[in-house]
Amino acid sequence: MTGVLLAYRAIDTLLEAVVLLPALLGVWSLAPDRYWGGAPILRHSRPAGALTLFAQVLPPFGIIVGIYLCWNGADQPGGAFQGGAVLAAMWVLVLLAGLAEAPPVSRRGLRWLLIAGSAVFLIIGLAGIRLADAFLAYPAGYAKPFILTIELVLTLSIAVALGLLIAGPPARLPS
Amino acid sequence: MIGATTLFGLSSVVLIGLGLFGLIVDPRPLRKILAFNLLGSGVFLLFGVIARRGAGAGLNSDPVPQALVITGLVVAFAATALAIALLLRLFQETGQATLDPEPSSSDAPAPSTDS
Repeated sequence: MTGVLLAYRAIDTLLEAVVLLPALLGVWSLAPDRYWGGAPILRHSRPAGALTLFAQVLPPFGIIVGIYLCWNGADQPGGAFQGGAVLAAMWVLVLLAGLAEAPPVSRRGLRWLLIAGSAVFLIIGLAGIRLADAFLAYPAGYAKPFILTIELVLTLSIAVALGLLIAGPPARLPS
Repeated sequence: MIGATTLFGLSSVVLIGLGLFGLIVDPRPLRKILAFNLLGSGVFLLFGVIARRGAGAGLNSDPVPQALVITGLVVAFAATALAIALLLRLFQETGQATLDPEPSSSDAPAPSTDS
């Protein structure tokens, strides 16, 4: 589905990817000053038993499903958003069970990962003006590799953005 | 016997009605957010029905409403996450998740003074 969207309504998908970032900025802006730069806390109040087991067993399968959805999006239902949402769900599950900590929001790699999807999309889109005479157009014969590159990076960025949106504002003192 | 399109259309109308009712009637912010999402789900379902009914020749469905729904899902999720974060912050600041200036007796702790 996203493959269709990327080819024919790319601007729509680009803006969808971008809209997650201002939403995340809005959530982050709710952090009290002293916590800014720290990590969000997302943990179930009683992370034990079934939830822990669930968070240990499910993610390997969920990650495979997420990658499959992303790959499949080129010509069948699926795509970056669907794949990213499944990956984000797995991350949130692991965070809820307390098996991993959310990263501090000031981490540079995290920021790069967040904007990578939109940035790659935009760069390839702008390159289309020169190579294919239109914004967000792909040169003949290269549509497939370009779309796959965009989908791959976009999936990662969307997964991270969705997970952080659920994790909420920073609630830990920055280290 | 009603067709699938009519059934889905009516279901979406019920969802929209329930959501609108909850949004207007219930004063609690969390309920309002939930009702707003219910309303949104109804609208998405309605768009799915429109996509099916508006299908051109040789197509299973009209892709334009479907694309709008996908965009709408993302925006609805982002807006809901922001609304929940605002509500949690309100709870942290005031000790209650309500906008009612007169705390009722059942509400837990008094407003904290630090900020």
